[in-house]
Amino acid sequence: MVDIKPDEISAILRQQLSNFNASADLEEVGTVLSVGDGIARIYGLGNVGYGELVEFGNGVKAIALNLEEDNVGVVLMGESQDIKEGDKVRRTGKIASINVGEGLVGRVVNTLGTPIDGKGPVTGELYEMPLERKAPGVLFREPVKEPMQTGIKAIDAMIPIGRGQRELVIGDRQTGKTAICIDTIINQKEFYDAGKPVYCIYVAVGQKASTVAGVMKTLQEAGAMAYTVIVAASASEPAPLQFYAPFAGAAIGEFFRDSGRPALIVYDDLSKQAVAYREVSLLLKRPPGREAYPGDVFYLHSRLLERAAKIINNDEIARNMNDLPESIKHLVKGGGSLTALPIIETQASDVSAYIPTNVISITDGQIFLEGNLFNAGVRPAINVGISVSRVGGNAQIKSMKKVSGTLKLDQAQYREMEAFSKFGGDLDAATKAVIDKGARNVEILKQAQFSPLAVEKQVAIIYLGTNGLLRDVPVKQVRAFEEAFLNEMQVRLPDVLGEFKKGNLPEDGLKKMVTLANELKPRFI
Amino acid sequence: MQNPRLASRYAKSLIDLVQEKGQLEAVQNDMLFLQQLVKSNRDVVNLLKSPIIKADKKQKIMAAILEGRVGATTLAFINLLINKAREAFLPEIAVEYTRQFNVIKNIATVKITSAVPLDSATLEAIRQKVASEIPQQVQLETSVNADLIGGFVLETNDNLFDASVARDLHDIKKQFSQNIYVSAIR
Repeated sequence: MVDIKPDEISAILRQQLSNFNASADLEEVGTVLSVGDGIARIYGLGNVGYGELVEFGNGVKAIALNLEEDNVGVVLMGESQDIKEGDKVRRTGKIASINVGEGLVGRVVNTLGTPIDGKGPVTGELYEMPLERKAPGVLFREPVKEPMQTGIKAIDAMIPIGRGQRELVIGDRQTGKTAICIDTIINQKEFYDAGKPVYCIYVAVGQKASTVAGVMKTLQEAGAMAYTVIVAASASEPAPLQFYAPFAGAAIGEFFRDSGRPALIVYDDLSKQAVAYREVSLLLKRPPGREAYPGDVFYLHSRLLERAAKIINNDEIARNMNDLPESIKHLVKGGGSLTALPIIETQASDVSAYIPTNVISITDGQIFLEGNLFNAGVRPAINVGISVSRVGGNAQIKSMKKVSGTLKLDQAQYREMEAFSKFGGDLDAATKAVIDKGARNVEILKQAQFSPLAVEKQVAIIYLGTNGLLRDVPVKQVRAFEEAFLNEMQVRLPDVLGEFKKGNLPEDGLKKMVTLANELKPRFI
Repeated sequence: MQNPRLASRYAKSLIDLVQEKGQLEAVQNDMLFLQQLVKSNRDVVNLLKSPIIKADKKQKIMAAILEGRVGATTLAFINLLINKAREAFLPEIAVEYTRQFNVIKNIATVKITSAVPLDSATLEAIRQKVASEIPQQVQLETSVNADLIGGFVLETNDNLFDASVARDLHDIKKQFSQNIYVSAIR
């Protein structure tokens, strides 16, 4: 038995009783005709609206999703065991919504916004945000141009992500999809420490509760929970809670976006959400389509991902944004953004399945992770050849853009020639140079989990790689060299790193850096 | 399982017929009698629902029970239901008939459930209060349910006004059943 202080209990009792309201209200009610499989059919509730929240006598909530001539089909957001035929159901008059506020940061909540981390109620002022909300229109958007630093060399150099972008992370199970996203969240600590936090939302759909707890622990240890909200609908939750969880996360993200702040949301993962949606749709007897998904599964994902946006940096225009909830109208500011990193799990690398193709076509690019690379020790296991970022190029800082400009091409060439070199035989000098450089670049792009790298350091090491300055370092020593080199850089040339961060590549700074690298090389040969 | 669409179709056709014949009130009384009958006598419901008892047997039994107590139209209607194998829905159709009858007659039935029987003065006060709120004529139905502990529950159409102690206790219980001081993820 956990020891509980008596005064703690009485405080909780007092608090719970104080917000108890004993006055009765006139309620609109209906009766349960049938219940089963997480679906109930209700007679009555003549005035109920689509998507409205209804409540059963035992406190279980449900959403009205099928309005028919003589009955209403609702999906239960709780246990269906205690609900019987003839039970009363009452309207709440609210559409499904979540209460969002600054107090949510650092917390773990479920789809309905109820905290599930055992730390008591969410503090501070809360604003009601609807789960389903239309994405901002064209007038209220701005092109993606600010970088969203992931801290992962391979991504920041070759597949840059901008604030307000939607970049899909796709791959088989156990290829490090979640790890990339968690690293990205951890990397935002730099901005939090600088007083310009990028608020992060991690939405866990259909995962084991223990996995969610693991993610929470990782983020806590990295000090990342201070600017992160976790929305969890674990595998044991009813399907409606699972497919609404990303919408709840988006509503939280929109609160930060519309109040003029940058936010990052990770949907982990949308294939499980689609499965949960398929379950509900089939139970509601909607006609099944390809792979038994309902016809509107594309719309399910497109409307969710459209909500990621960069809002125009003009308070006047932003204040007139479409579909703003009443509750946050007075808080609206321009210049905010919501970056989305949806995750899709493929089966046996089949990216031409229904859901992967859908989401690939919706997003602004994708990061492909491959099991082969992962097993070969290339981690993060990003397949650079087929990973793209359609809009992120403008969002790279100048120094990185210059340094990494040829990297993607170099690596493509390397992969082509590498296949040749496997047959052995003599190679001409040019081919050999390409292969040598490529092999070292592959080493540079490897990175341990939970160790995001600041962008200026990325610029420094990638500069050495793309300019072939690591020729004489043996491939196996490249990572050790990198570590030593970056440490030395931080100690001896912090001002050069500072210039890189600002986007400059000063001639003398580069010279000093190359000299430093050459000094270190003998240690690793 | 209930079938509201079926019930409303049958009730509507019956009402159309008896309106032509001018027997609206008479059949309404029959329907009230039927509702009373199925409520007080579970065997009748089981008989109607039973798939084993043949239709002609059911017709004979229903005729024996209802002969002289209900009008010829009602009896013919019940026979029709049995012929169409819809007799299991009779209780539902009877309720639906009353509902549609009330719409035609502009009557609102208001059901009051209380923990202890209410005295006539209180009832009259409630009636007047309700009558001032809704445009229809008010027909009060009362019932007693000790489980409410105190207070009353008022039902009309699809609306419910629950001012019972049981509801308050239930709401408090609901608040306590969810403890946000205990972590749900571990």
